[in-house]
Amino acid sequence: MRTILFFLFTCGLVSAADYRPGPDAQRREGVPRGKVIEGTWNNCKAFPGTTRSYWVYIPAQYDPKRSANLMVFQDGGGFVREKGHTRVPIVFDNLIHKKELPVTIGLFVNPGSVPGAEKGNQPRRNRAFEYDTVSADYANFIINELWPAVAKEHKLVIAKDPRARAICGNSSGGIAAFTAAWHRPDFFGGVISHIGSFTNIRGGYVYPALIRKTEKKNIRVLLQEGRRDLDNLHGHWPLSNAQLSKALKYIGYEHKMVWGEDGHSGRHGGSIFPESAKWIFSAAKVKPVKKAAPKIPVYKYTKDSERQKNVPRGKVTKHILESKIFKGTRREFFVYVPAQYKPEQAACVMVFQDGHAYVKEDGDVRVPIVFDNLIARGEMPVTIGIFVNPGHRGEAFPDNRWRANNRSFEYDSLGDQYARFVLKELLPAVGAKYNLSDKAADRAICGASSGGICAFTVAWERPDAFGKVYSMIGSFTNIRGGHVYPSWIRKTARKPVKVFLQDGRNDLDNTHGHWPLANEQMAAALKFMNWDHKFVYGEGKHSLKHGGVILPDALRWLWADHVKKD
Amino acid sequence: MKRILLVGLMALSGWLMAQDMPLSQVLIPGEKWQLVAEGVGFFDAPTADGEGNFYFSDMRSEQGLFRVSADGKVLPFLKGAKGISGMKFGPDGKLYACRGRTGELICIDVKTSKITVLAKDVRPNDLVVTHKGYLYFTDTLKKQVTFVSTKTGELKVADVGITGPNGICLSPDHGTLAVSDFHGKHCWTFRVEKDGSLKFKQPYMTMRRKPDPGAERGILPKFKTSCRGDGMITDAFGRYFVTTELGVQYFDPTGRISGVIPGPAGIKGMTSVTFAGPNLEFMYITCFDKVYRMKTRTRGVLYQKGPQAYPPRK
Repeated sequence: MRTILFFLFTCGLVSAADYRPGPDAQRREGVPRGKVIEGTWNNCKAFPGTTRSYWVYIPAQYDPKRSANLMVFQDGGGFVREKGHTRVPIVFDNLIHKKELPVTIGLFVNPGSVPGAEKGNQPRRNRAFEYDTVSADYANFIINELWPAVAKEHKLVIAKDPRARAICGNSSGGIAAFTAAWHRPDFFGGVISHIGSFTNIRGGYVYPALIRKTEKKNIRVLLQEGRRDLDNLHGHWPLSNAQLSKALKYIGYEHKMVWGEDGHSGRHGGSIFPESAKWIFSAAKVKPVKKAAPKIPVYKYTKDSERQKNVPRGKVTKHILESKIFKGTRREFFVYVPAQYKPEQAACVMVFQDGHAYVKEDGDVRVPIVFDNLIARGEMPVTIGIFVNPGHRGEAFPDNRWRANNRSFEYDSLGDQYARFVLKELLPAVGAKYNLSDKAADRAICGASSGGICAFTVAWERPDAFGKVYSMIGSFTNIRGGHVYPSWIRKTARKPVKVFLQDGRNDLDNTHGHWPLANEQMAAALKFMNWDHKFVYGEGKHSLKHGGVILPDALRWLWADHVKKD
Repeated sequence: MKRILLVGLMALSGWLMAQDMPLSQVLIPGEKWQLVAEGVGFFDAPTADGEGNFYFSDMRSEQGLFRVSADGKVLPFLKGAKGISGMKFGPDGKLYACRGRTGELICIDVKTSKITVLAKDVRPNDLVVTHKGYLYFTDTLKKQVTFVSTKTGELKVADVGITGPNGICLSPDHGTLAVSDFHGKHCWTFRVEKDGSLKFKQPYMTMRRKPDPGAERGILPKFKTSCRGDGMITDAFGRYFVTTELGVQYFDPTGRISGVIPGPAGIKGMTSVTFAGPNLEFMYITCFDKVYRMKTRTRGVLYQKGPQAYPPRK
């Protein structure tokens, strides 16, 4: 097992750059060598039935009268090897000798496993359970169980300051390091994560969301990641590390992000480890990088979004709906009926959240004009547009219709409640007067920002009812948990829904999340699961402009299955 | 030499990557749920015999058990085995079954239809039998897993404390027992000891649950405390499958959730899952008043055929 892990980290499958251990990872004459002592830990209390190996490195310069620093390593067997990816004992010997690193004890711990009770029975491997679970359990095992025993046996004393104790690991060992410090910042003040699995192996994708809404903890974090790292059922490693880094920056953590070109390999992290170790125990400040103000292009409407001569116009009517599902709320909605509508033929349907913004002919999206033009040319089917505002409690609607007071609850919540509202209240209200198709492929749903995630949520919950989604600047962030979708998509059987996503690189970065990265993660997840999807990534901010300008393209793409080819 | 070593290492890495078990290893593009049976009853207890023939129970019918013929016909099986909520064939070819309503654990000789009562005054919900004839059943109300030796009749408590022990299955090598919690978020694992006792209980698998938008708002979204984890089964690769209100969820042998497969639109719920068919490649689900199946890329295991190493060599 140990050798297997060693191989996993030494031989990256894809290697673009030649990362090798540097001069500090070579044995030097005249440098005193610390001791490395191996042990096994059975009768584990934190993880009953597990057995594991561990190693302790005690520097030659260690003086029991003076407390030392501590660094703990997950998958310790790979880090302690003198021919491994990181060669920690050699690096520590050299750096401590040069006085570039404080006298530092190393504790290298392998993950546990429960051996089979009988011959031929596979062990229960506990690595993912210990490393990828978002809880204090693994940290408490090290802090309360293993370290006190090791310290007692070898008479080791470490500094009381958590900043003198760091924890390091690769992959799941990397997220384990972060998790340990996150839950026990009273013990660990430094984290070094290489190719960290801040993905959904066992829920670890939550950290960026958690960090953005939690008071800053006294921890220093170094992340190393490779641009060719994994993209699999658990998540997208480079995007997940970028998310974590942005969240740490947003709160103002002492944090360093080191990007490389490698895949899921420990070599790059190993090659920079001497610098990382020095940095993690130093007080060096990270220089903020000044960014030039973004240049945002002017997106221009095409003729599809302008009134054309001789194109028949649909009619728009305004209505009020009182909801039982969202008790006590009222909302306005508008119905657009194309000139080509025939009552004997079921029409396609497209529902727009924050309808007021879409129905305006001089607004950013200009849906009635675009519908008139595209339907007249047969580039989309005869479609009834339903423009619904979010619910509001109270006598009068707010002047700014975006401020309806039930908007966030309806749009940002996960679950099927808004889908039920659309299917049981909104569509029947329109269907009483017009002949609407009930086929999923004939029904699309659209929105921007929270309305965008809302549109996706409706189709996610009811793919049998809505088969097409257009999300602009969608809030797939933690307003109320929307950051879960990329993780869910990767581990859910593909749904028969076409999804068009639009976002801008200069979209929001706030307490709820990082919009551009969130949308990149959505697109990557849809791609991984082979959804029928398209992602248009512009340069805009949190505005409907770009999404509005490309609406004709989005509609042509979404409705392509309804257009007869000559 | 270096090159040979490199190739060897890459092969090893490839094998290591293979431990990830995405949905693409289970689902076949284009395959959909097919209706197998429908009625007015309450279907449960799906299982397969040594040839992969599929059996299930209608808990509300007088007939009780049914089998599905090779050409897909639903035929009555045995007579009067009513109210069965879980069953598996044992290594001895007999059918072991839970009949909680009459408080019995029973054993059916399928050749003679003779029913023997193995234990009385019990409330078994579902069960599994190892190659040694060790039987474990879940007693959901008592929050207990009970051990019964099919050879000696010995009965003892194997575990207490899971809030709603319901589905139960074995790893293909019979070394690990897993139990789903109907009222909680985990599927628990135990090591099966030589004497049949269960050791080293662990909340090894965490099931996905529905959001709970009504819950008090916190930093992270709130999810329901349970997803109604019900019937369980493993496949030849050691994946653990469990039916839930979100669909069939499966976990890789290291306990990592790897896929959620929703049931057909409009079902009332899902009670259990098993693999059957000539190559055990069909996943069958019981959904209250309907039974569906879907062809998959994987294949099941038959516990009655004894322990199997996993993943399979071929």
